[in-house]
Amino acid sequence: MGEIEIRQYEPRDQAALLETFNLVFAEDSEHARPRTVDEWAWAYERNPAGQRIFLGLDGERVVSHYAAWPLRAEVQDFETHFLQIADIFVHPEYRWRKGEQNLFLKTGLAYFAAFGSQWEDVVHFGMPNKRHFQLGKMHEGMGYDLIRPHGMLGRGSAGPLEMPAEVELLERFDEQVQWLYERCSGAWGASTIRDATYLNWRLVDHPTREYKRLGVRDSEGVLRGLAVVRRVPQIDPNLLTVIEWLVPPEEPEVGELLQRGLLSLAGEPGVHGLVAMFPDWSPWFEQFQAWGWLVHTSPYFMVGRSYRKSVDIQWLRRHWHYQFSDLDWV
Amino acid sequence: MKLSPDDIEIRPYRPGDEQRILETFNRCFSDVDPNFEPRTLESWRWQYLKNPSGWRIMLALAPDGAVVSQYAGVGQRVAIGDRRVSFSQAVDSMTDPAYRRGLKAPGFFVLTGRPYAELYGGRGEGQDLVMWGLPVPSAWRIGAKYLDYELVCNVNRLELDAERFGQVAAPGGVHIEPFEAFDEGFDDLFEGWREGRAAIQVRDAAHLRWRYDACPTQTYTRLRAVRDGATVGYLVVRPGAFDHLDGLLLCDHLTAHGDEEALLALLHAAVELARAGGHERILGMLPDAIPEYLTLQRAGFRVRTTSYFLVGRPYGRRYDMRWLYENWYYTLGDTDLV
Repeated sequence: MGEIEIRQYEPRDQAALLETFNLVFAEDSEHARPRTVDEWAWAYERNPAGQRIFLGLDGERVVSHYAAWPLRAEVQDFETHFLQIADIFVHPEYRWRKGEQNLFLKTGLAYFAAFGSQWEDVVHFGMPNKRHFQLGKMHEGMGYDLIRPHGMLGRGSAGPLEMPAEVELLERFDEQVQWLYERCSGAWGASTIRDATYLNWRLVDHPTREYKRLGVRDSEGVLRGLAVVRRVPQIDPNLLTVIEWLVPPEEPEVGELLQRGLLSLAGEPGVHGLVAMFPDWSPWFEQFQAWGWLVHTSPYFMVGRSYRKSVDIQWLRRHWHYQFSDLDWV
Repeated sequence: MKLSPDDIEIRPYRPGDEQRILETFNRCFSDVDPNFEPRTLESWRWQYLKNPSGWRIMLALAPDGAVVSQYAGVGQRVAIGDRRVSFSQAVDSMTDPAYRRGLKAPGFFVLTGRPYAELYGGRGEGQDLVMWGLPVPSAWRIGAKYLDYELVCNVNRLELDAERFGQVAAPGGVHIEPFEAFDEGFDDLFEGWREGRAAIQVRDAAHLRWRYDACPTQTYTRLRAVRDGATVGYLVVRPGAFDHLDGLLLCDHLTAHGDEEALLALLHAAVELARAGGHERILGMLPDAIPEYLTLQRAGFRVRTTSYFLVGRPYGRRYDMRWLYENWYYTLGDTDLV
């Protein structure tokens, strides 16, 4: 093993990166399967908000990786990026080398030094596994802070139910989705900007994941609310996870229709129930309970690091609206 | 008033300090709370000296003996399986407003908090394995920076609105009896009821008598659930406010792990009390990782966010904040809020 070079990703690294990526993730997940070039390119080259990747290299071999999906975000009165940290790894042969700084930390510190910024990349976040969280927390330079352990809303299937006539399946998103986002986001202090470019990339054009997208329109065809679901093996393959819920809280009748649409999908064979996630201050957190969903504990916890004083972790806890769609693994 | 660190004495409480502690306490808290009622010596003695799990108090004293600052805690004996350990809840931290600007950062809060943690926290005999609290945001910020505070979770309340009182059905087979005081029988009952709970404050007779029978400032109503002549659970309630909402407070309850019937019978009795008292809601607090959290929701309680957040400081990697979040049974009665 030679000197490890830590630097930003360059296109020539792609094959070596995927090779190590697939070696590492095959190790610890029963759901792992090799990631294809197309999937990688979708996540890191076709993301409309760009890419943020730091690598450790031993010659041409990729031995560590600290990366994020940038998401265009609106926070307070300005536009920035929130970075969803994803796909962190160290090659098995390069872990715990005596007398050297841990490669996870070395690569992560280089990543934060390059991308942490109070203007461009204000908040870095994720739902790490316990080991990565502990490592990140132990090292002050990594600056991980717990935003909240996450309760999940869940309910069982109600048996076969008809899809309400007012609910339609959405093929793609158009400019109306941004109007919808703007109607919803007034009450949020911070959120990922949900426009057609982003949502089509995130929830339509994924090379392997199939999302079901439900929408409700008014009589003039204007989109009044949407809900997106998928079975997520890491959560429970028998549950439908609500990946995205974008409905103005002032329009509970739209929410009601979409919720009935979700129940209809959950009535299909092999589906045992539904799970959704909202910040606990969201009006939908209350409304879903009124519909009979219960708040369950979960192994997931949201962590973050902020580079802007006015957007500190306590503020994020009370003002940042996010959904499962903000996370790479769903 | 300006003081340098050399001017002050930092040491644990000694008998005789209580009057000076109270003077500062009553001055500090009357400044921030318009409804504040001065704490009496009796109340102070109850909270600290009479607590069967002990007190923790670190003081900063001016040369004239005035208490400039305090960092204090209420001890808790905690059962982790068959092991008995100590936790403490940090309460009543204060710095006399007259001295707040007299010292450069990090200030008296840290100046007393550090020796407090050093003396009372740790893995040694009699030391606290976990220190925890519900700080105000400013104390949280300083604590996170200088005193290793870590977030456990945001505190949610469980709330049953009057319109859903009717949802709590009374199960058969269990009847409810009010009672006046906890007796020695609760020692054995607790030993049975703690089974299946990873970490729980010892709710033996000594604790329950101190906490609810002997409290000089509050009056609690105690109910027991009885099945076939045997006590299978208890509930302590009182009218009051939690997170600025008035209602009937579920201060404490415990049944055997999984005895949903006993818990529902106790909740049904609480509903009757709430109705009789004209309360608009019943309020409680439980960790979301215990089965009772779902039982209450199924009975009609809603989970709602509060302004509180639970923070801790662990001593030992095994009992970190995540462990605490996943394993600790607590109720409002474990805090000084009720």
